[in-house]
Amino acid sequence: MSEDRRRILDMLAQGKITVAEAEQLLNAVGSPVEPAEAPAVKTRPRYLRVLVDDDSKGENTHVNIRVPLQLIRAGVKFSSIMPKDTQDQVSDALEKKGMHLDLSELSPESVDAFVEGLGDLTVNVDDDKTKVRVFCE
Amino acid sequence: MIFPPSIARMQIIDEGQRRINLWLPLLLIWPVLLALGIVLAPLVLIAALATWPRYGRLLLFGGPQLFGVLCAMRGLQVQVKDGSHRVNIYFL
Repeated sequence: MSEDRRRILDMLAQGKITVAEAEQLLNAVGSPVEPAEAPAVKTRPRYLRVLVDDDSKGENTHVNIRVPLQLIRAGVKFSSIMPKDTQDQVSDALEKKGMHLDLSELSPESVDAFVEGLGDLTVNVDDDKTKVRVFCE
Repeated sequence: MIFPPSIARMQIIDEGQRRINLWLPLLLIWPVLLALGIVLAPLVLIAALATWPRYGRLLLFGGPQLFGVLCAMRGLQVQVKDGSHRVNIYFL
């Protein structure tokens, strides 16, 4: 407690000022200075969570997947040793599904940066009957 | 040191009908695979040298990388619920 606030409370206790005056004075003095909060420790995310709620078929479909980010790293490292023509086949198959991903361009370093960036990512897709949520935890 | 998952748990639930709850002790499989890997290592090495670099690289480094993928599966969870059917898979 600061000296000013103590003096005001003393004056109130001695009856020199009223409660209303004490309140005004305390407001004028301002709130005590809060000790600086320790900077929040940013923990590295470990999992990618994918939640899907789909009511479009009439029946409620709920999908909840938790993927360790380490698995994504390991998968990319594994894909980097695949022969070039196999990588091309996988890329073509993904392209047909509407996903543009060239496996030959993926490197473990780029994935580390990507995974690092995923920590702040939250994707929410809300449709009338479908909800998709992707985030790291 | 990261170890591969020791247990895979699989639940198949049909509400009101059946409930299958499987605990698969994966930790019993890893020593067998390790022994198999050691036995096959010379053959894999020869095959890798014969097919280098196209498939040789994959044969030579594929084992350790695959082991890394298996280790990273610890913590993987898949839960799918469709109407009254539910399938849950956990790697612990």
